Amino acid sequence: MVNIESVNMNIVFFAIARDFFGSVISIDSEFKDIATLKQYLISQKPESEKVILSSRFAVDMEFVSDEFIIENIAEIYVIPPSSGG
Amino acid sequence: MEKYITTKPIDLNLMLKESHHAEAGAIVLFSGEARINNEGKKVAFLQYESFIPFAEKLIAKIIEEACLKWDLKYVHCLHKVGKVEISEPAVCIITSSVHRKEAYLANQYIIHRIKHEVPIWKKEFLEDGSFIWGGNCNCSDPNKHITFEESIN
Repeated sequence: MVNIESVNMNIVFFAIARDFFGSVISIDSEFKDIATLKQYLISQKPESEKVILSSRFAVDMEFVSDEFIIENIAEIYVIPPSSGG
Repeated sequence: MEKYITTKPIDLNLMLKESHHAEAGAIVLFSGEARINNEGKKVAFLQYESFIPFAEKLIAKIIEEACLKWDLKYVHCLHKVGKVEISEPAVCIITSSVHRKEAYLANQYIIHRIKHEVPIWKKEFLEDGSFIWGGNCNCSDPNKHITFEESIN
């Protein structure tokens, strides 16, 4: 991964994802897209792979795909599969 | 103030009382409640958490879409977060329409989408002191996602 410039981006985790990473981590690196970020998270906590791969990611209260380009994003939310109801 | 997510106990009687509509011949009330057994394990209580602002936005959208699909006279949803005791409602959906078919279908549609799409999570605390994160669906995998149509058949 190329560190183009130093940026701080918060990754916010919920439910079972929080059990692996805590509520929030601040990342001082740039990621091309969500897929790259997912791989980074898995590399940090290999035991979280199943949870990360089954989670949806969101930016500004919208779900984003793996291809979503991460540019000037302050916060990314990691949303594990829902279990409401 | 939140409209669809609450930390307070859900008052089913009050919700039903507020749902009457002069043009509605049918009211369907669904109460999703905490049950004592799950897959052979004894459950002590449930704990729900949510990403509340996102959940509020998504539930509003789901209700809006239900209103486009069916002619509903009244619709409301309330989901509790925090501790839910056995037999206590965790979620209540009320739909009303001129005839019963629309109210039933819309009600199932709303609860199905809430369970599968809205960022609300259930943690089951078992009597032995352990806990399990609930899982309804792996919605990010289209091969595993159960559609509303599949759920009512």
